[in-house]
Amino acid sequence: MPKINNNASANANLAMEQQRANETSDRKEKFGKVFSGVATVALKTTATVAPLVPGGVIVGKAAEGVQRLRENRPGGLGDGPQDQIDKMWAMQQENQVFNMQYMQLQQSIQADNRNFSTMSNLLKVRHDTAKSAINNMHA
Amino acid sequence: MRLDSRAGKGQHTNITATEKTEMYRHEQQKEEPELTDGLEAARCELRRAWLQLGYADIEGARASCARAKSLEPDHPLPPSIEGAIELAAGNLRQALAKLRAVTKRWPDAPCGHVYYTEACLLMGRFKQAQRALDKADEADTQEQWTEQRQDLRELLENLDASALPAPLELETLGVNA
Repeated sequence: MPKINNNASANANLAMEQQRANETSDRKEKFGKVFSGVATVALKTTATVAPLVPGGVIVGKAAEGVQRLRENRPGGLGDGPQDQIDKMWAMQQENQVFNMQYMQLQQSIQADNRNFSTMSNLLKVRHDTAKSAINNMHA
Repeated sequence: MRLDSRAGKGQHTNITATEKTEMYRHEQQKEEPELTDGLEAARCELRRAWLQLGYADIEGARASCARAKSLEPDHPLPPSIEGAIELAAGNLRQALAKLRAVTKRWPDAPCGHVYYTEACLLMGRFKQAQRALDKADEADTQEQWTEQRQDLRELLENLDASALPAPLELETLGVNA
């Protein structure tokens, strides 16, 4: 008969998985912000410095255009797709957590089934043995 | 005028009401022999008790078992079954006390040791259960209880005691079974 229970280790695994997902999500968010800041500064610097460089007028105009585009868009440059990626990432993480929970539930049901059949067999044997002992009762 | 089956072929006899009654009793006795033997009567009571237990009639089972005990006071099975009934009713302390008494009085009877093992197991006394099961193994020379002993042994060997809840006792819950 199998040993009863490894639920504690399964719970610990689940908690670790969730923590890892949260940490990864935080890291991605921080990276996005830093990258966005760097991009803003780079665009401003390019727009400022470009007229001083020979032939840099076009580059300067382009930088200004991109900067304007970034300012006009809600959330700034790259935040729209980034948001979607973040959402997809979060959904994937959630999906993994749900899968883990489902697996855990399945394991738990299987363990319950095994325990039930073991107990059922035990009770049957107990009943039959007592019955035969009564029938074979002799002095 | 009736045709008597005991009489010769085609022979007609007059049978009175008393004779008819007597014949009926005789036939009945042939089908269900009167339980004059104490052992047979005790066995019948124990069968009844086990059946009543199956229908959760604890009081009825107790009464039948008590009758079996009075019919065969020197047999270990009626008090063992009485202990098993208390176990089924959830009165673990009473069951333990009764079965301990059985194992003390009849140390060579496997039934007492087997049910005592069960009681110890349900009370969470695993070492005591192990010892009782060893004694049951020794006592069961006719191997009537082999299957139940094997199941109990398997259960004891694979039991994760730390994962088990505290034993449920009806006495502590204030339930009278």
